[in-house]
Amino acid sequence: MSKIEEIASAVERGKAKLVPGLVEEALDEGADPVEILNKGMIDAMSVVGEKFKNNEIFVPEMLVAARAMKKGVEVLKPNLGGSSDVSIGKAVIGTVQGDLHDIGKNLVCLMIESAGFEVQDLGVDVPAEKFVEAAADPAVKIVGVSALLTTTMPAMKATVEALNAAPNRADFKVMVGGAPITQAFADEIGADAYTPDAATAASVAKAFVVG
Amino acid sequence: MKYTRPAFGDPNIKTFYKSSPFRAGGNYVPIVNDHPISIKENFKRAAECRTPCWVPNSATDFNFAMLFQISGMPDADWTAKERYYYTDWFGAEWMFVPEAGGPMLKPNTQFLDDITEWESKVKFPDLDAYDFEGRAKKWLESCDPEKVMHINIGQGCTERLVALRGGYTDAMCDMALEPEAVRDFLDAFADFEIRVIDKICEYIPVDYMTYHDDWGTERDTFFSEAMMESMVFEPTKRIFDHMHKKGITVQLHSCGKIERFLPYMVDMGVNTLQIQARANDFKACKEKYGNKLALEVMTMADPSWDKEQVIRNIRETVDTYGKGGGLLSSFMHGDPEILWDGTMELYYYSREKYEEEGGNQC
Ligand code: B12
Repeated sequence: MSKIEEIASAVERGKAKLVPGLVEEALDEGADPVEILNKGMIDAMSVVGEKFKNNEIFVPEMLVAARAMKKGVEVLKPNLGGSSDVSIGKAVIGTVQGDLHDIGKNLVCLMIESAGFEVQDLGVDVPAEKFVEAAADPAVKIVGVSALLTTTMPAMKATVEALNAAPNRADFKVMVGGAPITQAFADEIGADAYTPDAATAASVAKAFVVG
Repeated sequence: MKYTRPAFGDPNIKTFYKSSPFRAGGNYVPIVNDHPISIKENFKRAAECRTPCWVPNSATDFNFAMLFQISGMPDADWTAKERYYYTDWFGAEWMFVPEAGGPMLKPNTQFLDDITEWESKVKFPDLDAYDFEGRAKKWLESCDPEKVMHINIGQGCTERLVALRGGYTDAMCDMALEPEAVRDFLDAFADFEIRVIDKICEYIPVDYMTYHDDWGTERDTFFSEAMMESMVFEPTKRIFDHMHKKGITVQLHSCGKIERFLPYMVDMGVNTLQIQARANDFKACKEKYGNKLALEVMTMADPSWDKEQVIRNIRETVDTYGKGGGLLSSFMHGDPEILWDGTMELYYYSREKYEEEGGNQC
């Protein structure tokens, strides 16, 4: 197994203690930092996301994999030297006002980040104005809106309407999700995309930006 | 239709005022007065998946209290109109969110920042510091002794772990990375729950207890079977065994799609399930586990339905899930006449149904 494959395997298995050491070893051996990131981590996280989507692994396994990746990225970051090919764009993601469910939203943040985006997590209980304010940043390509309660679906509608009225609306895509949300609801409120899980959210977001 | 349903306002039928800890106000519910067997015996049959005489209706057949009502422990005030904070009896901080209709851990707070330190940091509540006796006495005054004594003891193992660790994310990472510490903590928590059960039973002749532990997301369980087996199922079973030792029927409440765990629930001795209709295939549950696990199926009426639709829905619920027992239900409605008619229909329609089925002595 190559060092990069070892990193990928450690990320997939959530070995946060092993990953930083392996990344250092790979760097010492002269591996390309961007390749470590793409093949050792981003690809590994998409395998994890895919397994989660297919109900082969569960939320804890996905969370520890993401943590392991984060630890590796910390070591890797100084070596990436701000190379422009690292971030493919900015995504802002939050849970709507009145709703404090954040597990799904956090997984979406993690997967979108793992797919190469810079992520701004707006947190939970986020008023529509806050989403609009964050979306005003010209770097933002994706706005992700999460809601877990039927009682906060109206807040999602209001948020998407406010985003749709933003003067720079053409610059970003609006994605929605959460347990009670459906494609039909997403269409009805004028969102650009709905996905049922975090792995698909990441690939759809990437497709929007990379084309 | 063998039984004539007493008409709305029939002077021979008394009503009682039913309120709920979850919402302000209440409604007048009619009291059916021709039970062929005792309400408690009927409940036991249904909960043990034997054919009862009618489908137990929690609105008419149960006395219900949440643990906070009979202990005085701090808990959410579900009728609150404004957001507010409170600290629970372990020290975790919560925020009540009226627009969502429930409490939530106060964001960015964490009582315990390292699960391996639980032994030195977590202080299990001193039950003697709470006035169980006085509160139970007061609550019992409002109870009808003929009805099922039902207590909801609230948060179970994983929910307590989550509450102390400031959220699911850290708690779930603990389960993946520190299984031994989690298991030790949950064993200690099960001991605590057993003390709570004993304390309640000192003052209340409990028939039925609900234990609350959310194990599922909309699409699947939160955790794998292996993880649950190594950390959660055994302490949980110990709690259920203790309830059974006290002669109590065990209800497990668990949100999300938890079908994967149904065989384990049978092994743990769960009697009745309060699970989510949207996330689970109730018909498949009934088919596969109908003789082992009773299901609580609410006959929730859509507020826009007229009386005929409400009645049809009640009959459908009884027909679909009632066969051979194993169905517990409930009917509440804001309109006093629909509430009356629905209550009568649930009772008399299910009596007719079970008489047709036969095999039971009513
Ligand atoms: C865990 C949980 C809680 C935890 C929340 C912990 C936390 N930090 O988030 C606690 C216990 C605190 C809680 C509280 C409440 N809850 Co709750 N909760 C759940 C539960 C069991 C699981 C939700 C979850 O985390 N799933 C795991 C994640 C991974 O899945 P997910 O969120 O669906 O996200 C995935 C996808 O949807 C998608 N996705 C999510 N967001 C986004 C965003 C975008 C942009 C995209 C593209 C995709 C996407 O990707 C994610 C990953 O694959 C659900 C049950 C259910 N069926 O979902 C109830 C549930 C959502 N809760 C419910 C309720 C009622 C409440 C309360 C009101 C309860 C109460 N009475 O106390 C409070 C409300 C608090 C508030 N103000 O928000 C109800 C909602 C019913 C309804 N009317 O809609 C549910 C359905 C349970 C039930 N009883 O029916 N809850």
